[in-house]
Amino acid sequence: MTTLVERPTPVTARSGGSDARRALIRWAWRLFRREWRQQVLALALLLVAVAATVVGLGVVTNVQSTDAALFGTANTRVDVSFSANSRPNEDIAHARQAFGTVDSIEHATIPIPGSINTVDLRDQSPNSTYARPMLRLVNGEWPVGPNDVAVTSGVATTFGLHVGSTWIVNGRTAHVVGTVENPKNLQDDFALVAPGQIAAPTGLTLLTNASNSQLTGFRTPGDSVGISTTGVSGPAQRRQQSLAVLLLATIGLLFVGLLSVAGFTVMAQRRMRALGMIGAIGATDRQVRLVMVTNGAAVGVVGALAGTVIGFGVWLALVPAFEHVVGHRFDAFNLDWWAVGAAPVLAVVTAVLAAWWPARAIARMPIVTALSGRPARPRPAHRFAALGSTLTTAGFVLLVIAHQRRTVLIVAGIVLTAVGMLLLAPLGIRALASMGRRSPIAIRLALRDLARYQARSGAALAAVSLAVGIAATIAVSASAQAAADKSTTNGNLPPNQLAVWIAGAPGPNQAPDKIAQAQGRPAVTPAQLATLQASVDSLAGSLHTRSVLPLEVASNPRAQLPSGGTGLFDIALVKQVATQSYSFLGVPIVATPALLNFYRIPSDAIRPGTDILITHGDLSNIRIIDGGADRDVLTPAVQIDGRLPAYSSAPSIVITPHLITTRGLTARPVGWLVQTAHPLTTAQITTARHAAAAIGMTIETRTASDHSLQNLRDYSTAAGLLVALGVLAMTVGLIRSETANDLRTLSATGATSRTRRTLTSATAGALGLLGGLLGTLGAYLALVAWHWHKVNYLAHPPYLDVAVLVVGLPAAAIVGGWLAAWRAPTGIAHRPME
Amino acid sequence: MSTLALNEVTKVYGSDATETHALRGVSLRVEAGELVAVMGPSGSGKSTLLTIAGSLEDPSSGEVVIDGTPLSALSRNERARLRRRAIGYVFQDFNLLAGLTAGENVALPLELDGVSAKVARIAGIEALETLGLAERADRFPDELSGGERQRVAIARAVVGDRRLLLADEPSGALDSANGEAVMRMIRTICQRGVAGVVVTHDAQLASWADRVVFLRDGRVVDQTTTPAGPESLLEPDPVR
Repeated sequence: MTTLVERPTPVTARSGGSDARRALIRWAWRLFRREWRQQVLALALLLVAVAATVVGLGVVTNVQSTDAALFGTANTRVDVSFSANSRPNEDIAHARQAFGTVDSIEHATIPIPGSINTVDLRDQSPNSTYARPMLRLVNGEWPVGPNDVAVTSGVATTFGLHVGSTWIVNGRTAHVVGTVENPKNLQDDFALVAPGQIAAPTGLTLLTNASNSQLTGFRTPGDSVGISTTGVSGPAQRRQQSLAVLLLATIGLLFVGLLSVAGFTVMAQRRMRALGMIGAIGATDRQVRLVMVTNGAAVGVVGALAGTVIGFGVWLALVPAFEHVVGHRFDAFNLDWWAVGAAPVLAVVTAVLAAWWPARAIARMPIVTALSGRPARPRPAHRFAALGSTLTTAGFVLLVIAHQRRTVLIVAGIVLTAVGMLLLAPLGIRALASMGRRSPIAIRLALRDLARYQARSGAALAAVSLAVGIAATIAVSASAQAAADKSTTNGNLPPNQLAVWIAGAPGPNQAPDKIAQAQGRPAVTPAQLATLQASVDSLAGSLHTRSVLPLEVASNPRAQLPSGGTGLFDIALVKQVATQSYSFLGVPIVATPALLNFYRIPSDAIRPGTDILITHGDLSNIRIIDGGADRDVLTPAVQIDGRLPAYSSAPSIVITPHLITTRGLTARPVGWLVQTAHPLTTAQITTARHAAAAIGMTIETRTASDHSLQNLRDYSTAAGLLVALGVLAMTVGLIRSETANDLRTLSATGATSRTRRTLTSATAGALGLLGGLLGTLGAYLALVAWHWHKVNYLAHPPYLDVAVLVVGLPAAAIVGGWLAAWRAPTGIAHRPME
Repeated sequence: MSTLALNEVTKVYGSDATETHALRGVSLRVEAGELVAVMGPSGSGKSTLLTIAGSLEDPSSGEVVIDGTPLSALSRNERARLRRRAIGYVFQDFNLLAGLTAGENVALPLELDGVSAKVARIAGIEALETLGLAERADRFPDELSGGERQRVAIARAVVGDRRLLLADEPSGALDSANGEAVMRMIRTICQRGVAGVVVTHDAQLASWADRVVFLRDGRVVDQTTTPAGPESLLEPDPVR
């Protein structure tokens, strides 16, 4: 019997070849199985990240409605607005001659009592060639007979209809035979009748497949309001989606990677002596790394596979609800499959890289140090900071020169800025530790531990910063978007204003045909006006209104009307585009003393001789029309005043008393602008609409998404706060569990539970404070670069949201840490050595 | 040619105010088949001497030569290969891998060196057999007693063609009976031609060595030759 064994196989490979790898992989796999509880954090994070990525991919891929909502399967859409001398059948025949197969859909308008909105009545065929995807029968039957009508659920709700009920549509009695929808746009509210059943159509839509050459030679129908084509937008949309997917996956996995680095660092430190031991018996650096990397791969594979399965299950369960959120139906399996496949692969790569980093540090550590179980000296923080500053600067520059367009530069800029900011984390920890030198022992110890165990605390801080950074980016972006909305004339009204219009009166934002129809009607009588005023006051009172501003338009009582004869003509502002050709700008509101006072414009601020005050815009070729004849077109003297609102339905163009006097105009009331202290809620708007309808008036409210932007801002802040607190809970738990020995020593030297709690809450608070600051700073930095050319949009930060992230997060972390540390840990850190 | 030769080895930790001289010009030679015990008070540099001899640490100055090969001439990977093939290390606290069985722990250096798992396992079990632990080869470390774990650690240190056995307080975590048994095994191994260096506090255990080296403040202050232990009297052909 002998203990000395001759080497069976002479081996020349430096790292022992595949047999050695197999042995180490076997050991690593056993470690993974034995210690899976210690790896639950990394495993769960990867699982959640992959599941969230799969769900996110489904969301991103399907969130945008496609052109099919408007085009069906056609590539060309022609919208025709009818006038008195329109010949729709000729237009259809002409289109068929030009393009071949053409689907035609005739439209009429159904007014909604008490609202300026209308419902579209259309005669679309469910069996048409191109428009079929735009129509789906939800229940009941398709309308076939002359008195059959099907409605969308929105129309059914508005008019209180159901299948089987009777509805008077534009003077005709119809039977509701079914519920329909445009599956590509669930917000598309309409009533459907059988083809050819609209007696007096007001518009026509033609859908066809046309080539560029066919379009070039096509004669536009006389009243065509637009020819649009699709096909080019498809790839562009797809690119945008891919960009979103790429960003989502990059940021998500960066976040998971950072957390996993923290987890694997703790694991590597627990295994430090075991890894040192295999180094002592002759394992090379590569072999030492292999153990941790294999462990990372095992965690990655298990997390990725489970995450993919769970994510896909969640996605399928969410689809019905999500369809209503995004407003269109879609195929649940319409996913970017390459991205769905790439997500778990990226997760495995992330886990391997996250394990590789601490493995590299352990492999580089002197064996004697590893065997002693002492942590390695942290690398100087200024090296990370120097690299971080360089990367942040590079990322900033890339985002600036990307001009919000160049995909590669955007992705590179975001990643570099994020990574650069995260590399500043160790410097922040060091700075905080040195600032806490004179603090009480528990706080000092907590801060010093963070600095000593820089590898894991740095990764944890980076993850918290990233969570805060994402939330701050969304919150600040929402504010910037709101500022951008306000800076343009896109919106109609601010969210806390409501316009009440007298029926038939032209509001500033009304379409020209409506204004034309209103000409010649008599003004309301003083008695009628008093009644309406009382009703509006009552309505305003119910809204806890701050102010009610009467709105008047100027009318020429002796104007020649378009319909012939003379009468009351409400003047309009137009832009002359050619001889006797004008584009409509709006109906000016009279600059009454009340209006000037409302917008804080002193009456002496209006220069003598000024006809029109306008908030902004191109003033060239502006004309005023105050009658139906050529002589009624005049060039006004215009003055710009930025104090006037920019909203299209608010008085953004006002007529001065000078013009009224010189042209002999009269002012007549058209409505009231009601301003509330807070943004109007949906319930308030509904109540106001019903109240207005009861007295024969209509209301108009904001149609832009200011309110939803605020919601987005608040939700993202709350979500960021919760994610950051979750990360803090996990990482602080890890960090404090690794210092359980210190706690035991502290207890032995007489420290109370108060000391233990202070330790935990100081650790959490420090990470929360630094994470809040770094994340918010990084978000602002990236957004300044993003909005470099319109940086003024960032001048109105969401103070409350920023305060929640920078102050609320550490405060919540301190309180949470204090509460969570009420019980002493049951054991000390387990070391896998025997 | 000595199996292990330390020539004027110095080790300094830290710098300036924190500078600590762990070893100051230590020279030591250990021949094949010789067992040397290193004794000295805490902080005298015993463990540092062992880690430098085992290529786990580099000396600040001086030279370490193993089987005629100066360690300073070797790369990190070459030194790792030397540890796999020529040097066996026994730690005070066993340092077995919890995830591997006793047999796998013993076979690990061979597997790291590229020997197939099957062949390495056979060699591991044979090594355990010489220490009377073959039947415990499939047990995990946490299923073994302290003495058994240290025997597994010794088997791991000698498996294969090892020429130098370094043991740092191998009986430090054991009771006296197990401590004696461990020293007996190390001595037996050395008698088969392996050069051994054992760091110990215990003069009784040091008596198993051929030679005892005393360290104080990083210097070799004395060397003595001691009897080879009571059992050597019973051996028909003693080493010396």
